[in-house]
Amino acid sequence: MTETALDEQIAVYESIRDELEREHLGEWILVHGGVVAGYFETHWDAAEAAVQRFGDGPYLIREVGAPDALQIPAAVQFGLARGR
Amino acid sequence: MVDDGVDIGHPDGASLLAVGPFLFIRVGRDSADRRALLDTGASLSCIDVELADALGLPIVDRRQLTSVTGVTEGSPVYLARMRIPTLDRVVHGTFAGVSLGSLNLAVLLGRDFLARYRMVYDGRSGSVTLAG
Repeated sequence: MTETALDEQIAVYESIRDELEREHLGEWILVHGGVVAGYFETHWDAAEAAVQRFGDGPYLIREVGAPDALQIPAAVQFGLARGR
Repeated sequence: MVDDGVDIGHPDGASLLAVGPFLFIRVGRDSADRRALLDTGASLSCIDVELADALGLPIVDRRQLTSVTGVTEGSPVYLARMRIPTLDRVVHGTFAGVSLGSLNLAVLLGRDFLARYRMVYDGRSGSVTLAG
């Protein structure tokens, strides 16, 4: 996906953010081609639908109302995990 | 997968303690078996950003990521097809792109993944059973 194409989908999300957070809080949204393509219970469901309908995109998948910043897991931050 | 689940554990408790529970997975069109740690301390799942870029995985969002060292703006969130041979499952999901190379991991599967499964962790024997 090009930066521009993803940015366009993010801009659509931001333009209707207030409405989304009132009506679809906690759901996962799929935005494709500048329009909302669906709402889903989990990102797994959204991803399955996105691939089936639109292949590799471009599209946006985001949890409605998620914090602006995602917390990096402690295992990553502190190197606690050691796959061997 | 049967209802009783699949044992993905270790031969003994000490090995499980040292390494943690993990699955072998295949990401995207990659045929290599890669390690995915099951992390109950993580709310979201992550993928190694270098691997994701090398495989050409689509970016489906850009987000701030926070850590003890600060905030990273515009970090990519990838969509990945993940085959899990042990579970005989193929799933698609979104994964925050982070650096996992130093941990010798391709993917970290958080509670968003585990929400779909029942995991039984026996620290004494090293057994970990996953059912879905």
